[in-house]
Amino acid sequence: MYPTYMGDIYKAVPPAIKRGSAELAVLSLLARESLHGYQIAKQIEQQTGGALRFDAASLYPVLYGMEKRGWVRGEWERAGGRRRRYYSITAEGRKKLEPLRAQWRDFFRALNRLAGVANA
Amino acid sequence: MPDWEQIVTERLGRLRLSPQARREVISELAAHLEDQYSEACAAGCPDPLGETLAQLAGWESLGTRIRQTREDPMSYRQQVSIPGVVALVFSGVSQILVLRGLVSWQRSNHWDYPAQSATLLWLFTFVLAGSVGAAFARRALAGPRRRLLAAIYPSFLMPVIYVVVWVVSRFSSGPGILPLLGLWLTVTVACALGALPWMFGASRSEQPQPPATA
Repeated sequence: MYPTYMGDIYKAVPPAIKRGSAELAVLSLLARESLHGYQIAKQIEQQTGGALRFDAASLYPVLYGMEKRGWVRGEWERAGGRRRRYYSITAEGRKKLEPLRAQWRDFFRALNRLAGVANA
Repeated sequence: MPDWEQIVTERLGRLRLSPQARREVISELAAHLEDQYSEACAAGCPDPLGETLAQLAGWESLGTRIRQTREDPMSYRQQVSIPGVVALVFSGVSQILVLRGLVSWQRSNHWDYPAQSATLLWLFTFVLAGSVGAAFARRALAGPRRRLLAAIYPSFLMPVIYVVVWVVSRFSSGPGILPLLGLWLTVTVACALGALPWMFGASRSEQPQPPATA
């Protein structure tokens, strides 16, 4: 399970693209501030106007995968009377962010050239 | 307020991670669901519990994906290399003991033991060594594949010895490479046989863990 996007249409998108979009979304948020998992899910939902949503079962495998690759780092902190695992972007993650953005820009440009998505 | 840690523990089921990593995952997911639930309550949702539990749909494969991404990179050493070295040492010591025992027996009893019996005894030391390696790997929370790797660890060293023997034998009338390869395969199978009793059944991490604490 990856982010829900525009209802059922997203189900047809290949997993690699879903995972890539999830990683871009998470890295973009963490480049601004450290957040815990729920805050990441909420901010993605709010900032995409509800078009992109993570549930818990989708979010954490993505976060753990990025942590394993050294793009983000999770640290336990106490907040609101409860321990939370805050994620922050690492130097490696920052290095990865720009190429990821460029890849997605190229991807949408190519899709636009092919299907005229922007003018549809 | 529902006990989210208990709910997550039940939903995740078997999660083959170290106990500490498991507690952390459960604690983190429970905190997420608790936030979700609190927000649903604050928003006046008529069924906050149902809405939050809907997040748990599709968790069937979550445990596997979490295990794949949360595995401690050190765990390979703990689960394969260390048990493998224990098996290797056990194999070496047991072979020395068997050899000394046979020589001593032969001297004191003037008995020529059959070569086949000696070979079987020698192979049995590898079965025992494989069993020791797999048992240690299982104790270190390793999965079946890693248990098997730890079990056949003693046979990893043999190709090195065989290359030396083969190089030396080129200058004498020693065995060729094919018999050595066959011997290596036999030893590997013997080690793997020793792992069989440890390949089945739950590892420690699969047993119920106490719920994570905040």
